[in-house]
Amino acid sequence: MSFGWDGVFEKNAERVIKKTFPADMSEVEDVLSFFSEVSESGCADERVIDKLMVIAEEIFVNIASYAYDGSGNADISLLLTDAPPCLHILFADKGKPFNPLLRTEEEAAESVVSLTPGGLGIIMVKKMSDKLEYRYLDGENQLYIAKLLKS
Amino acid sequence: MEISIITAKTDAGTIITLGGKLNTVTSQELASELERVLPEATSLTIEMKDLDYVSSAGLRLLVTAQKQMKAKGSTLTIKNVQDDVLEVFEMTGLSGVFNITKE
Repeated sequence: MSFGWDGVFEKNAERVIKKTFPADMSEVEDVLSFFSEVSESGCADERVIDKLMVIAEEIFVNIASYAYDGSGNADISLLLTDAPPCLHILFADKGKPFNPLLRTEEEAAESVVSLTPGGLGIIMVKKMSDKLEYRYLDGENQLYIAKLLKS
Repeated sequence: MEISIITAKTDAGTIITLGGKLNTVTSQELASELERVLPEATSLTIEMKDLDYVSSAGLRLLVTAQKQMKAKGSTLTIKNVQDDVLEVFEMTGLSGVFNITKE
């Protein structure tokens, strides 16, 4: 797989921490704990950790809510790099092809009115991330996010 | 996931003071409290000075509460929002939907 911010996951494969979670809302707390442990080990600012928690929750909830008709998994890969300190995140699922980055602000506003999950969260992820990329490859949705660890 | 929810009834109305994190997990606790409090509240203030962050699940809950209060001619005020949380209200366009005040 050649993907990510200049192939960062491939170049640092031995340092990538990967976990697979059932794509189910009951897993949200474990997903947040996973992000919290890794970002704290990277000495992220507390404000940055709060934003990472929002990013983790919004993307995972989106996968849990919409990716599968039945059951499925979400693979999460995390990688800490230096210069500048950064957490690289890769969410992968084998659910329906869906590029969340194509969601418009109008659709997000509509999701507030209808109170459905998804739209608002994606807007928040877009605004809180330093880099976002999506691709659908080999039957897999792959969403790459980079977040600088110092605010 | 930690959240603190303290409800007080005062002469000025009902005040819910939130602390910690309002997300998918903790918003269920707030949903239960709002369900208990909203039917009788004529004026509801949500104090947020100790709330560190809010995700979209929390925002949807607040929008629901706002709609319910408005439908019965009552008011909902959000008070003393931290900068990071205010940023979330602004980035989602909800800062104009709520009455947000600072003491």
